[in-house]
Amino acid sequence: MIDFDTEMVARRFGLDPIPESVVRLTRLIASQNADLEAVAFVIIQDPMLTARLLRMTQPVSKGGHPADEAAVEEALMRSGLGIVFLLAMGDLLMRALIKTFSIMLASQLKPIHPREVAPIHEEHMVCEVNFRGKAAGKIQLRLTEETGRILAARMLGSPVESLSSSGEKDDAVTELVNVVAGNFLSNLADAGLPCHLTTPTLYRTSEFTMRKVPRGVSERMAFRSPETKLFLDISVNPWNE
Amino acid sequence: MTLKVLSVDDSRTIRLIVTRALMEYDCVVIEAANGEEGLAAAAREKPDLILLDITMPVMDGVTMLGKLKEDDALKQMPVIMLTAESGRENVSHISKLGIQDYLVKPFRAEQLIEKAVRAVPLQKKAAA
Repeated sequence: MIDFDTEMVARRFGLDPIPESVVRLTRLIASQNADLEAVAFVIIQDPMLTARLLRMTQPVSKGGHPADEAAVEEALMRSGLGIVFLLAMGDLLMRALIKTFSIMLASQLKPIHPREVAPIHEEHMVCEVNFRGKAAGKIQLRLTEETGRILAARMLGSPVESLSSSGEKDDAVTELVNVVAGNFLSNLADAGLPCHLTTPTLYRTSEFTMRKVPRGVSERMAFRSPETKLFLDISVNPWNE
Repeated sequence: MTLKVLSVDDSRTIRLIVTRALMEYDCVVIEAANGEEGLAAAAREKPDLILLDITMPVMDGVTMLGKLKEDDALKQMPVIMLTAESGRENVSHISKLGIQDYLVKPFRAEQLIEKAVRAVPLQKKAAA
């Protein structure tokens, strides 16, 4: 619970109001001991959360039938409450990425089903950051070298061909992940899950598999803008066991 | 009117974005990559305004802020925190350390300019 004085300070500095998704996560955390029906009720209010839950728990599509509360409850029963944390955290992360693209790159990023985008088979960039505290997890942004160049150029307001070194590109992609992860962690803290962040590391790999945290639940998200595509992986151990 | 602004951030990208935004307004920007370099630059350059990141290697922004406020020659310098950290409890804690303002990354250039203009005392602007 955020107290009044703390919220007043935030408003004085013009910070954004706490997003509804954070409020929802707080509610979901509070409902850890609630029955599945109550948790399902919170999820079913949000079509995107519902769609992601069913996508994660039903790898094969059931023909696009509208989801009802019973389907959500069944999915929760099969997967356990860990997936609820992953849903809520993934939601915060996705919003942080879209907001950062919109403000820093003036680019509208759209979430899409990961199966709608071809995987990256060649060597590509991965920027990884870990968090630990009340929850533990790992975030990875995956993108091609060309996407990295485009993002760096947009962040710096320069033409792509003017980037003089891969250092500029790497620094820009790393800072992008730093900003996204910082926003995500701030929202987690406001939701009652304070964690600290490691410094982002950037490397190249041809492996396209997600790296998971021990006993964690994971999700791969995909995004597209008019000129780029990228993947965002999150793996979470909600109770930091 | 030329204001001297010290940008303390470990990201080259952010320092470049800040420098480009402020140079449009005829500001002179000095850069430092961590709190230790930032303290030295503050003492040497006597900037009109400091933009300060929090998470940095060598010395973080909160430690640098504490040291600035302990130094009689530097403690009056206006500071705007410029960071991705926006957790309410942390912002509230840092606000008590004597900052002028707080700007969360990602930010728009016009937000930076607006906060910079508000943070620098009028007599400094007149003298600059």
